[in-house]
Amino acid sequence: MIISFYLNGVLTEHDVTPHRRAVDYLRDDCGCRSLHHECADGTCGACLILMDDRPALSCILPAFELRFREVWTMEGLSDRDEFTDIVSGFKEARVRLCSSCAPARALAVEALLRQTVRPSARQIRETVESVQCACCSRRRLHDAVIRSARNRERRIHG
Amino acid sequence: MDEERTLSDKLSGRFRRPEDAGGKTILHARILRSPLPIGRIARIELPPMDGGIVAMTSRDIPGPIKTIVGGAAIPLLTSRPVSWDGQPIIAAAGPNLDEVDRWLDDVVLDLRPVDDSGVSDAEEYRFEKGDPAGAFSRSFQVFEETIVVPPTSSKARSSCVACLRDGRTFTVHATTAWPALIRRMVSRALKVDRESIKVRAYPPGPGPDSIASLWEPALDSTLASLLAWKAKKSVRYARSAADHQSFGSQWPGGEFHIRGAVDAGGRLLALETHFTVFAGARLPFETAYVERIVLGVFGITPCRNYSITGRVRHDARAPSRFGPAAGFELGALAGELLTSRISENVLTSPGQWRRESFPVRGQPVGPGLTPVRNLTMPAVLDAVLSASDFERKNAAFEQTRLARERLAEAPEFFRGAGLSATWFGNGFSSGRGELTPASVSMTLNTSGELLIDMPLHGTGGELHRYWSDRAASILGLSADAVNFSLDRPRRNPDQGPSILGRSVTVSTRLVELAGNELAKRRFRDPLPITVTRNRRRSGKAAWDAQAMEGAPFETVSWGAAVVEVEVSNRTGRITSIRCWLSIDGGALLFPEYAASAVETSVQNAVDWCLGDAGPAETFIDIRFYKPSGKRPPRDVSTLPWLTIPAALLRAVRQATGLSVDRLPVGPLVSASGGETR
Repeated sequence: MIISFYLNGVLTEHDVTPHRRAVDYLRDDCGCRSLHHECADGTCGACLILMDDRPALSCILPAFELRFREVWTMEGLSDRDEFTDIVSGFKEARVRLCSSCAPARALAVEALLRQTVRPSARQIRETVESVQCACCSRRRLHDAVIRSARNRERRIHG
Repeated sequence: MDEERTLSDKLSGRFRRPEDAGGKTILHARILRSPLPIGRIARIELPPMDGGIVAMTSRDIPGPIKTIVGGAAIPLLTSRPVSWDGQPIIAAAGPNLDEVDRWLDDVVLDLRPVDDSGVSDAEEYRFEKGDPAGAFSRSFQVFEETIVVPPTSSKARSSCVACLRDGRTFTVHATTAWPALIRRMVSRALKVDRESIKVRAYPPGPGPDSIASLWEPALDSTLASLLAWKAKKSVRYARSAADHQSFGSQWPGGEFHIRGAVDAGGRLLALETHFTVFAGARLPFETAYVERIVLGVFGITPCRNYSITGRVRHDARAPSRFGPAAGFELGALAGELLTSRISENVLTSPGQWRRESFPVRGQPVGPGLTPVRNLTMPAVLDAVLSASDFERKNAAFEQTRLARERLAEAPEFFRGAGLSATWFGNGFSSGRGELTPASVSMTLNTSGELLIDMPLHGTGGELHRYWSDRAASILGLSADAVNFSLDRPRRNPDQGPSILGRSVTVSTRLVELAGNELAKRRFRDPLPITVTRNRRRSGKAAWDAQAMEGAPFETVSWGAAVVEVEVSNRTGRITSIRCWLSIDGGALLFPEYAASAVETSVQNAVDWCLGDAGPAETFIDIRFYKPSGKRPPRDVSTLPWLTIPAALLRAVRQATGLSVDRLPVGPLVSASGGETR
């Protein structure tokens, strides 16, 4: 079936097979290399995308579900000014990440900061736990999210 | 390529990985694995290979069918006997995975089960010194400990390797800490010169699974390269998460029974240990692994009478990978539990007993390791004791534990605290042939640029920046004039893996040696000048493994930890964990990143001990001992794996009043398991 949707702000149209997973389609056909299909069952979160401003796991999502949606991946988000808030936050927290979970973590934080720039402890915990990877301590990730939120607030409100 | 720039690339998804290598024409590979753990293949019938399908069985391998890793012979593809669950039988590649799967579905495989459990005990390892029997007979008290640790599966993750073929050259893309092993194994299997194999190694990243990148990527790379050789095309092989779950290798577990004899003053007289390691069908570098377990059991406390017997039990699971400290973590857990038990049952406080038990000047560490000139362990211990207020808390929690039967009303939570102090060898013991060699080559060319050939893999980006700055300052160059070369097999013939802090200690020294030599020759000899410095310890003089005497490692780091837990009296669930650590890692290159790495290890060590039963967050306080003189940097991130589990287990025992003797400690174990102490 032919689907059309906005990928990173650009209208995209493709013919996809019904059993095709969104992660494979976005990686192989749309060149979104920031998505990783690590677990294939929605547990690790390395395939996180923003769909209509909400985080979604693209490994358990059929490609046709993207139809008429607005989809963002790190390829599109990393070109925007907002990305610098997240990079600075992670740098200030001295986080060391592996290459498989890092884009998904940045995307999860972006999803949170689109909701609020003053997240609650529970929201931060949910954001940290949305990506399962043992490469960094949860405490430091928590710190990175807070710092990213502060950077975003400072940029918006001065 | 410093850490900050790397982090930005990683977060944006621009950081490349092996699955990004190759174009759209690359073939995709699948491995047909044995559905039976033990069996015998009677017949294999392959369907016709049309539609661009290429397949390999063991008969098609041009080189030896078995590859040797650390003394363990591992068949690349099996033709007759099946020795473990998921053993590779056929490798196939095609234009897309659906077609490969369909082709593999048509393969006729007559695999017959064999009446054998696959469990075998290999040779017994025995380490004995002094008169342990005599020491036990004249001892004042004898203490015993038992701990069982099941094999640990890492979280299921897919992994990918790609072999890009360009004429006679094969370029392997893999996430690995040991590219030299990939080059060696691929060239042997393909029977081609090593010069025609290039390895593009991707850093494994932090976390406990980084050590898994030791030999597994080399096996996968060899299978992908064999298919690329036969198909005359590039091949990508992605091991799926389902494959990992069903057939993935595990860290070995172990069962330890350990006894210690002390005199009336509480000094350790003798040690007796029996242990069994639960490994998969193969355990590469088994002897080195066992040696590290034994060194972990001793810890710091001097002990000249001991009898240690150990065996490695193999079963029909995939060949094991190393644990996070390559065996040290198991030995240290058992040894530190015994030390805790002794220290809490002698007349002095646990902290005081530890302090008095450290070797004094001239006395050997543990079984007979070369004493350090200036033992910093007392200062490291004092730092963690004062930061955590351990002595006071321990006394209070112990009072509560002893009086809990008489409490009129049980509180909602009970608390406990544990102390652990040990050391860690930053690398593999000297003399371990293929694990220890290292080499750095520097070329100063006519345009004044410096090219450094060294293994960059598995080390953090910050280390590259440090080496670059170090070489630039020795030669008076700007840091921009220094470049690293990834893959020049002739210059770096056979490197060991860059894990366990080996890069920090060995490579830093080699960079300094090569830089100093280049500085001497730069105005004397014509440019370009190339200087190579190799590290290949003979080991025989430095370390006697059988007698457990000498200096097994280049450098060691020291650490102590206190863990405090709060356990719910109703559910048995651990609701809060607080960890304090003090570490002597020499002059740290980047203290903030070192703290981040230690935190990650603490978190992972806690998760290892508690499974999924731990609290969401852990309080972590880290203090680094600041050396007064110039001391080389050492690995610090592995120490929490050695100190945290023993301290945590002891804290859980104190809080629950139960003799918890196995990992992981789930809520059911702490609520009802074990016998009351």
